[in-house]
Parts: sequence; structure tokens; C-alpha cells
Amino acid sequence: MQQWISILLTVVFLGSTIRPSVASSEDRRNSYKERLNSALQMAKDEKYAEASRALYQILRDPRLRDKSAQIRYMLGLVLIEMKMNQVASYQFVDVIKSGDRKYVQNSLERLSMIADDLNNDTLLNYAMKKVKVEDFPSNKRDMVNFRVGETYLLSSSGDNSKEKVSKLKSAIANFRRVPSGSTYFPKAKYLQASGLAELGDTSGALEAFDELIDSRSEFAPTDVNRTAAILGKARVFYQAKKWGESVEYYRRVPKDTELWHDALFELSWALFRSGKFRSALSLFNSLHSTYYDDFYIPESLILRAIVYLYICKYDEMEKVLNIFDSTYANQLKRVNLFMSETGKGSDHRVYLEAIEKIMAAEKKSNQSEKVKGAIPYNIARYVIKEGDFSRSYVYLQKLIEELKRVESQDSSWQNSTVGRYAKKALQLRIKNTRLHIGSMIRNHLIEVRGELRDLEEQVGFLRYEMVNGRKNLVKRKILGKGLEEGRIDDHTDRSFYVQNGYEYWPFQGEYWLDEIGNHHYVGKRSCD
Amino acid sequence: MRVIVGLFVLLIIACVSQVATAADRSNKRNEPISTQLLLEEFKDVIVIQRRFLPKTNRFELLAGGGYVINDPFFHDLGLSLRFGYYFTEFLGIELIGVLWGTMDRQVTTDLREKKQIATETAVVPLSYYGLDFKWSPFYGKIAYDDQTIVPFDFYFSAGFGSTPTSLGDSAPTAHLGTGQIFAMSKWLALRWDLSWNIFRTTSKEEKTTGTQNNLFVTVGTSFFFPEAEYR
Repeated sequence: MQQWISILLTVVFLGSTIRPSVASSEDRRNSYKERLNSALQMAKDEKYAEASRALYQILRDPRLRDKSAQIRYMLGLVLIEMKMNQVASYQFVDVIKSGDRKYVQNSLERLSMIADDLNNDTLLNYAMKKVKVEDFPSNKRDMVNFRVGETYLLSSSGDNSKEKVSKLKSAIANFRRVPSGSTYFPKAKYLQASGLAELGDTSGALEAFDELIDSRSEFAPTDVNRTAAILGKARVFYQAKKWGESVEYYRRVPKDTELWHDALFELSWALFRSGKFRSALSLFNSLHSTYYDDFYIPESLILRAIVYLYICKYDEMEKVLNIFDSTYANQLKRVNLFMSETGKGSDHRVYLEAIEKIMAAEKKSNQSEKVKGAIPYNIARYVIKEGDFSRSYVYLQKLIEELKRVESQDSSWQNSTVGRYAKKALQLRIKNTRLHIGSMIRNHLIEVRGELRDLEEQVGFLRYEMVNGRKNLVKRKILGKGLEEGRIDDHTDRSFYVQNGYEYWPFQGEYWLDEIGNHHYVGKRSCD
Repeated sequence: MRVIVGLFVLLIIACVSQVATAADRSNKRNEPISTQLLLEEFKDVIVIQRRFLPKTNRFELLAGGGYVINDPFFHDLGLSLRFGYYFTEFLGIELIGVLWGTMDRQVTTDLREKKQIATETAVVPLSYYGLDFKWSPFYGKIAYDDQTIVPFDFYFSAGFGSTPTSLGDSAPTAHLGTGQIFAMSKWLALRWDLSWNIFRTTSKEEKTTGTQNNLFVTVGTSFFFPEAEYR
């Protein structure tokens, strides 16, 4: 790395010496060359802190404004060596803005690398809209293709249909160019398939997911990318209303993976849509176990109540609706209270602070602190898992680390102009990022609040249907038209299960972790 | 002595684990989580799960150590090898081989050295070979520290064999046993066994016949093979 920067700086410096001089005086030119030469020597000697101070001093010289692109580019390179990527990115952005052709391309290249490392949407968006893939060295093109595709994909949401289709197509084309040997390949392939699914190209999406599954054949069955591709296939089939295939793929998601819970929830929908109510109810018992108390899945309770309504199990339906009231209705009140207390015009950083308190309690496994948080724990958890939050939060952590690096430099550097500049720039960036994340959380809470309000309304309708259904059931029983109560396994001996390699356990309200996913509903319909 | 204490602790753990399991369950019920309280009343739900350690058509090889717990005169330490085959999840047969090594207890030494009472006439089992039928009617699982769930089988066994003794003869022996197999993986298990051997011996000098009861505990590791087939 040191060799690389030395060569690079030498090239930059030599470039400057053979460039036709635009200096107003010989003295100025000599002085400038001397100072730059000295800074270059410092960088060569790996004295990056000193080099950065010298370069920043030269940059501040108003007589050398015409050289600022070159100096900034060099300063950016030195700051990268000091692992101060965010501060370095400002230098490259300024070079790009200056339009100095000699340094724009190189700055774009460096900025793209930094943006990739920081994984910051704004920087990526800025850099990727300006880059030309062919200008990059071949070993970096996979990253650029992936990031450009990602930028198109992210910007496609919310656009009108024509623009959206065009952006999705561009994204897919870029993802396709990521070669299979690249570390970006799994993500690119997954996003390519998702983009195709969004365009309605079912077969194309399935093909892309298959490619991803095949590429991970040498990995363990629990490989995240492989599992995500299987889940993706299930979703594509679901979208195409092919319930049978969808169910098959949801069931293929391994139990000991993080995505299994999502698969279970979505599978219950697929089973419901295919009319397999008993199978759907079997899953709900696992989904609504205490092991998933921390998950935000209010919709699944409504779905479970609807299934019970379909088979006229009103007592069970009431229990489900009571669970909704005792959990999510209460949580809605807490969210409302928190949002009204924070107020509309307040500093949105309070949202992040609330989430951070919960994250800290989670880290310490402090159950009571987790539960006492201003935002209900499972809603906080849901927000934390959202892609935009997690990306931005990782970026924030990187900024904080960078600030710590600045503060760990010796005091002379910290008190220098470049040190003060770096600290101030980072502090401002951190503040703005916290504000941005706070707004993000607020938006998610608004979404959650809207969803819970809708579902609360549906609970009201379901209660009405339940009362109505109960009344009709009583009428039918009086008329002697009621169905016989019982279970489908009434005539099955338990040893039958055991002898076929299974264990049978009666369910009496207790949950064992190893039983999750193995619950079976064996009730019968109470009406036609 | 350590072995006895060890075995005793194991038995206590086995019993306490079951109690702890029941306590865990009741604790879970007492959790102030409304979901739990409401959910436990859901009806028409059963659990059917694959056996963690299936046994049908599989062999079991046990290697372990044993100790006779009812011999007042000697410390009888044994090396035990058992080789079984399961026809079904419930039923199986098992070949047993135990080799005993004997050490005098203090009381035996005192009798010989201080009272000059001959102890050579005492019947000491040298080994045991036999064939058992095994019946595993119960299965269960225990939760350890709310972290690990260990499935187990509880079995009873009965059979016949032969016990070569220090008197130089081989006594026909009836064998009764019970024990638990705790599944660690799909091919490895920990097992304890409490066996009762009953055999008759005749003293050569005194020409008397007596019934000997050997109660011994075995603790060991079981290996199951071939690899489990899942249906």
C-alpha cells in the first residue's frame, strides 16, 4: 500500500512539473514545487499526518487556487492512508466539482472505492451517476457494475411506471455484468432476480435465483445467499399465484437460518391462499409462540383469526383477537404516546436515541430495559432490521470510528488546520447522519402506526363476524345441523408416529424450542 | 468411592433435571407475557417431530465402566461392553460383557489381618456374559439451563447369562436392568444402566448353596450405526 501511494504521488507530482506553467512568477512556482516536493517526501516516508498538514497548508494558499485540484487529490490519497475515508471523500468531491479533467477520473475512481467501503447511499449515488465502468481498472469493474445497478434499483422506487421500468432494466443490465467469481456476485444476482420479479418476468427471475442457488452448491445448506435465493423463488411463485410451488420452496428454507421465520410467516399466507387452513393453523402455533414475542408480526394474528373464522372455531378466534388487543393495540398506544411526546418539529435524533437505548439493553441482555424502552421492543427490532436503517447505522458507526481515529492523532495534528477541519467535518457529518437516521425511524414508526390502526379496525370487523358466526352456529346446533366435534387424529394410535421415526407430544400450552415448526393443528371444521 | 459418588450425582442430576423441566414449564407459564398465558389455551394442537436419535434397524455399541453397589466386602470395578440391535424404536436385543476387577474393602482387610478370618470363600464375580431383550416404552427430553434440550429414552431390559466367579465355576445368571440413553447427537449418546444379576453359587468347602445378588451401575458412551435414515 505504501509503495502504491508513493508511486501514485510521484506520478501526480511529475505530472505537475511537466505541465505548462501558469504561475505568475518564478518565485511562486519554485516555492510551490518545493512545498509540494516536501509533502511528497513526507508521504513517501509514510509520515502521512505531516504530509496532510503540509498539503492542507498549500491548499489554503490563495495564490495556488489553480493547483487546488492536484493538491486536493494528493491530500485525499494521504487521508485514505490515514484511514480517514469520509474526510478524503470531500477532497475527491471537490476535485470532481472543479472539473479539472486531469484529476476528475482518478478522483471518481477513489471516491467510488470510498463510497463502496462506507456503504453510504448519498456518496454512492453521487459517484455512481458520474462513473463510466470502462474507465475503471478491470478488477474493480464488478464493484462498479454492482453499485451502479444498486443505485438504479434504489432510485426506481416511487417513480412513475415508464421511468421505473427503464431504471429497473438498467439496474438488471448492470447486475448481469457482475461476473460469477466476484464477491459481489451473490448480491448482484439476488437483486437482478428481484428486479426481474418486479418487472413481472417470472421465468427470468426464477432463472436468476437458480443461477444463484447453483453457484452456492459447494456451501453449507444454511448458506445465507442460497437460503435467500430459495426464499426468493418461493416469493416469485407466490407472486405468480402458483401456491403449490411457492409452498414447496418456502418449506425448503432450512429451519436453522435467520430467514426461516420470514419463510414461516409467508408460508402461512401461501397455505391460506391455497385453502390449506389446517396447515396454515399448524404454522401459526409456532409463529405465535413465546420464542417469537420479539417479532413484529401483527398481520399474522389477523390471518390466524380469519382462518379460525373460516372453519367456525370462534373460541379460538377470540383468543387470537385478545392476543392482538393485549399486544399490538397496547403497542400502538405506546407508539402514539412516544410520537406525540416527541412532537412534530422536534429534533429527530430523539428517535435514534430511543432505538440506541434499546440496542444497548439488547447488547447487555437486559430484558427489563428492553421492555421499558420508549418504543415497544418488537417494533424497535423491526425498525433495526430494516435495510435503510441498518445501512445508515453502519455508516454512522464508521464515521464515529473515523472521528476516534482523528482524536487519537497527536495533539499537534489535532490542533493543526487540517486536524480541526477533519474533526469539524466529521462532527457535522455525524450530526446530520443522526438526524437523517432519526427521520428514517420516524417514517418507519408512522408506517407502523398506520398499519396497526388499519389492523385494529379489522379486528373490530372480525369481532362482529365472530359474534354473528357464533349466533348462527347455535342456531344450527338447535336445528340439529351442527357438525360433529372432534380431531382428525382421534383414531390414530400414538405409537404409529413413534414407529415411523417421529415423537408425539400433546400440546398443553408449553413451548419447547425444538418443537417450533412441528406443531400440527388437528381440529375439524365446525361448520360447512 | 468416587465412582459411587459420581454415579449417585448422575442419578440425582437425572432426577433433578426432570423436576427442573417441570419447573421450567411452570416458570414459562408464570412469565408475565400475555401471549403465553393466552396461547396455552389453544386447543387441537399436537407436536409431531422427528426423533433426534432414531434407533430402528440400528446397532448400538456401549463402552463404559461399572461398579457393584451392594458388595460389602469388595470394591468391584468393571469394564463393560454392550452390543445391541433395535428391531423397532421400542424393542431390541443386546449382548453384554462385563469384566470385574476386585479390591478389598477395609473391612475385608481387617477381618483377614486382625481377626484371621479367611475371606477367600466369599463369592466374587469375575465377569458376566449375557443376552438381554430391551424394551423402551418411554421417551422424553430435558432442558438444561434453558439452553440445551436433550432427548432421552428410558428402557427396561431382561435376560440371561453366565457369571464366572472366584469359586471357579460359572453360575447361570438372570439379569434385570433399567436405564436411560441421553442423545448427544444422531449417533452419540450417554447412557446409564442399573443392573441386577441374580445367580446361585455353591461353596466347595462348606458345600452350601446361596443366592447372590449383584446390583451394579454402568455409565458409558453409546455409538449408534449405521447412519440414521429419515423417512
